[in-house]
Amino acid sequence: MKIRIKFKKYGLMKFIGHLDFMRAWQKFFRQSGIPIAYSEGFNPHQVFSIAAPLAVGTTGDGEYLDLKLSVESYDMDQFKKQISAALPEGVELVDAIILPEKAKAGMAACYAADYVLSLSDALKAKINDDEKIEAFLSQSSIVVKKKNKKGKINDFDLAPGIFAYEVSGKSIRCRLATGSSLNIKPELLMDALFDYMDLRLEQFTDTLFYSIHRIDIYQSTEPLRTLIEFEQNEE
Amino acid sequence: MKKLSVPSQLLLTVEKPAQYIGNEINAVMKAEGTFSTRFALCFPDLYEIGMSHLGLSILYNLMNARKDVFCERVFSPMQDMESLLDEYDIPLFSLESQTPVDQFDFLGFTLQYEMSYTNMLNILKLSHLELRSQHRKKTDPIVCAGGPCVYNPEPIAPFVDFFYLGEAEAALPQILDMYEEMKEDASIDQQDLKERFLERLLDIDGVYVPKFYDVIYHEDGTIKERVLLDEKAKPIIKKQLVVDLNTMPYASKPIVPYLQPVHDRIVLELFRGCSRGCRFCQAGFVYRPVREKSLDTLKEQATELSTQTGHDEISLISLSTSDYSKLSPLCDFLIDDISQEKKVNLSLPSLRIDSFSLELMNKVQDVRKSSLTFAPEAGSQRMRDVINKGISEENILHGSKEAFLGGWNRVKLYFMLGLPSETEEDVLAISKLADDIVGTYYSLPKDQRPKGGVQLIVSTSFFIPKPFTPFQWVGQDTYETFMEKQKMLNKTINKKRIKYNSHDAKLSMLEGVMARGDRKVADVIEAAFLSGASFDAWSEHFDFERWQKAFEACDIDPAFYANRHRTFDEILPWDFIDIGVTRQFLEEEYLRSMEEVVTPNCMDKCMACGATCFKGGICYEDKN
Repeated sequence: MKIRIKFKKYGLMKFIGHLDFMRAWQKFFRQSGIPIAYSEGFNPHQVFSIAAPLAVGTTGDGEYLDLKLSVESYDMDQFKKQISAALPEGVELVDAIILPEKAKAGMAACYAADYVLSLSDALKAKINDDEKIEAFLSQSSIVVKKKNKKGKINDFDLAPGIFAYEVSGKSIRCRLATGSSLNIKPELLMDALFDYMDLRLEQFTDTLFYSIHRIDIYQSTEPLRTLIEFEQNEE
Repeated sequence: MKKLSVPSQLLLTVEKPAQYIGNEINAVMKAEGTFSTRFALCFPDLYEIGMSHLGLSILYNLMNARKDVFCERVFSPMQDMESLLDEYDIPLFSLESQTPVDQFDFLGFTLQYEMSYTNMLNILKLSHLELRSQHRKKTDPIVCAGGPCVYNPEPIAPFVDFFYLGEAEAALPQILDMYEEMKEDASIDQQDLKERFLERLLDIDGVYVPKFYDVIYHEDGTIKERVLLDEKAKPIIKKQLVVDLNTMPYASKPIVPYLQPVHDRIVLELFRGCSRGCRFCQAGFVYRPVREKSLDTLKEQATELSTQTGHDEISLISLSTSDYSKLSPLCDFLIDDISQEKKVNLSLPSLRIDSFSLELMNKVQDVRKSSLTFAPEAGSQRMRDVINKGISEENILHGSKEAFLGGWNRVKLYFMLGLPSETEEDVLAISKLADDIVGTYYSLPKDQRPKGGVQLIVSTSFFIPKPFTPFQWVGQDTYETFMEKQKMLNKTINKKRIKYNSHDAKLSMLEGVMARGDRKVADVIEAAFLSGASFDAWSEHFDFERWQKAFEACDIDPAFYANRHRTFDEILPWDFIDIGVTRQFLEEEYLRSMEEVVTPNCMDKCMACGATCFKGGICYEDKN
C-alpha cells in the first residue's frame, strides 16, 4: 500500500540539505518500526520519495513524502503514532493518508506552491517601495539567466510561473509554479528583484538577508487542492 | 529553536552549515542549571572526520551519562567558517548549546594523529584562548588531552594543562568527581580552582601535569634528567585501562549525524589491544593486553545499536578483527539476526585472508566483488621477520590464490618503505612479490579464475618510528633516502598489471619529528602555526616551507629527532610513561629484530612483556 505523508520542516532542520534529509528519513523509518517496503535487487533500499525538495535554508509547513509499505493494509492511527515518535525536533507529522489508486506520484503531482519571503529590516529599508516590488512582479516577462543541468546558461522567463502575489510590510507572499514542467525557485525571483532594484546582494550579511518559507504545495489551483486533497472521482 | 552562535543568515553563506548546529539524532541537550560542569570535547579536525571516530562517541556518552556533567562537541571549522568567525568576531562555540568554548570548565582534545597539533592550537586561538598554559587566565578552561598521540606528550606539553594516559572509562570518572567536589567546596576560592585542581591531580594515576616537571638537557640536546617541581609529582605516570570490557559503559545511543560523515554506520568494538606484536606498530604495544568483549555482550550491543541509530550498516572494529576468538558465531548472528532480520548490512573490515574469511566475505558481499586487501608491510621475508609481521610469502600467495578462486580479481597491497635495516634488495622484493601474485592468477586454469585479468594496487607509505615500539631508538630514513627508494621501486614495478600509489615523504618526515619530539619541539609547532600552518594532515593545506622556516627560526634541527639513531642508555622524552610493556622488553625486541628473529604472539606464548601488571585480559586466560 502507498501512503502520502504531509509534514513540516522547521527550525534547525532547515540547514539539512535534501540528500542528507533523505538519508535521515531512512533512519526515521527504521526507528519507527513501520513495515516500509524495500526495493528488489542486491542493494535493497526503502521505497519513498519526497514531492519537492526544499533548498537549504528554507522551511516548509506543507511538505509531502510518498512511501510504500510492504503490507496490504495498516492501521493509519498506529502509523501516525509510530512516525511521530521517530521524528526529531524540526520535522513534524501533519497528516498521513492512504494514497488513492489513481493518484499521481507526489513529484509528478506538484503544480504550485505558496511562499512567504520575509525581508530583514535593513533589506526592507533598502527597498522600501512596495509599489516598485509590485511593478516588478506584474511584468509580462522577467527574463533571468539560468544554468541548465548540463551547465549551459540559458534565458529563462519567470513571469509565466508567478501565479499570484501580495506585498505587505516586510514580506512578499507569492504562488509560484512548482514541479517538473515549470518550476520557479524563489531565490531566482529574489535575485531578479534585486537586479530590478539595482541592489547588489551577492551574499547575505548579518543585517541584509531574507528568509524563505513554503506554506503548502498544490496539485491544482482551481480549485485549490494540496497534495493530500483529492477530487471525489480520484478516491 | 535554540539560539545559534552564528546567526542563521550567516550560517547559510558557508559550506555544509549542518556541521555547526548540533541537534542530530541522539545528540544530548541539557537544560542550564541541571548540571554543574561543562566539558568541551574536541576532535581537532573537520566534523565529518571527528564524527566517524568511535572514541569520541565513547567519551561523549561516558560523560553525559552523568547528571552533573554536560559534555558538548567542538570541531575545527572549515576555512570559510573560520573567516566568518574572524570577520564578525564570534568566538568558537560548542555544537550542543552553542556556548563559547572559553566559558567551559574543561576543553579536552582527543589527539589521534600528530598532524592535528596545529589544529589544536587553532582551536585555542579561535576560542580566544592563549596557546600556552602559563599565559592563560586562572579562570580559563582547564585544557586537557588524551588519545594515542599523548603517549609522547612532550611536544605539546606547554599547551596542555594535563594529559590523560590510557582509556577514559578507567579514571576519567574519578577526575570529574574530584572536580565536582572541589567546585562545591566553599573553602576553595573559585579563582584558584584550576590551580588547586591541577595540584590535586598529582594524586591520580594516569594523569600527567606537565608544569610540575622540568627537563634538563645535555649539551648535545639529549635529556640529562627530568626534575620534579612538586614533592607529590610522580616520577612515573602509569597508563590506565579497563580490565573487563563487558561491564564497562558503552555508547549505546551514538549520535547519528545528518551530514554524511566518512563512516556512516554502526561500529561494534570487539576487543581492545592486539596480540600480534608487529614491531612497527604503536597501537600493538600501548593497548596491551588484549581484552575481548564476550559474544553475549556483543550480541546485545549490536541489537541495541541497530534499533537506537536507524543505520543500515554495521561494521566491526578492533586492531585485528580476525583474531576475535568468537568471530565465527558473531558473524553468524550478525548475518542471521541483524542483517536479514533488520536489514542492516554487515560490512567487514580487512581480515586476514584464509578460507574462513573468504567464505564469510562470500556470505556478506553482493555479486560485485569489491577488492581484497593484504598488508604484508614488507616485500621480503627477511624484512617481515625484522618487523615481526607473522605472515609468510606462502601465506600471501596461498591467500591470493584462494581469493582468485573465490572470484576476486582486485587486490590491494600495503607496504612500508624505510623499515629498519632495509636494503635495496628488500625494496625490490616488493615488486617481486607483486609480480608473483600476478603470476599466481595466471597460473590458474582460465575457467577457474575470474574473467577480466587481475588488477593489483600496490601502495607504499614511509615508516615512522614511534614511541613505545621496539623501533623507538631507530633513525628514520632521510627525505632523500625515502624518495630514492620510492623511485627505485617505481621503476621496477610492472605497470601493465600493477598500479603503484606513491607519496611525497615530507609529511612523514615531519610526523617523525613530532612523534619522537621533546618539549623543545613545541616551539616549532607554535611557530609553524603562527605562520599559518593548520590542517597539515590535509595535503592541499600542507605547506612544508612554513615548517622549514619554523625549524630555522627556533634553531632546531629536525634530523636530531627524525633521523638520529638513539642508544639504549639515552633518556627518551617519553620514558616517564609506563604503558605496562617494559622498556626491557622493547629493548629485547629490538635486538631480536636485528637478528631477524620472530617473536610468537600472545595467543601462542607469553613473552613476559610486562602487560600482566594490569591483572586481566589475555594474560590471565586459560592460565589458572
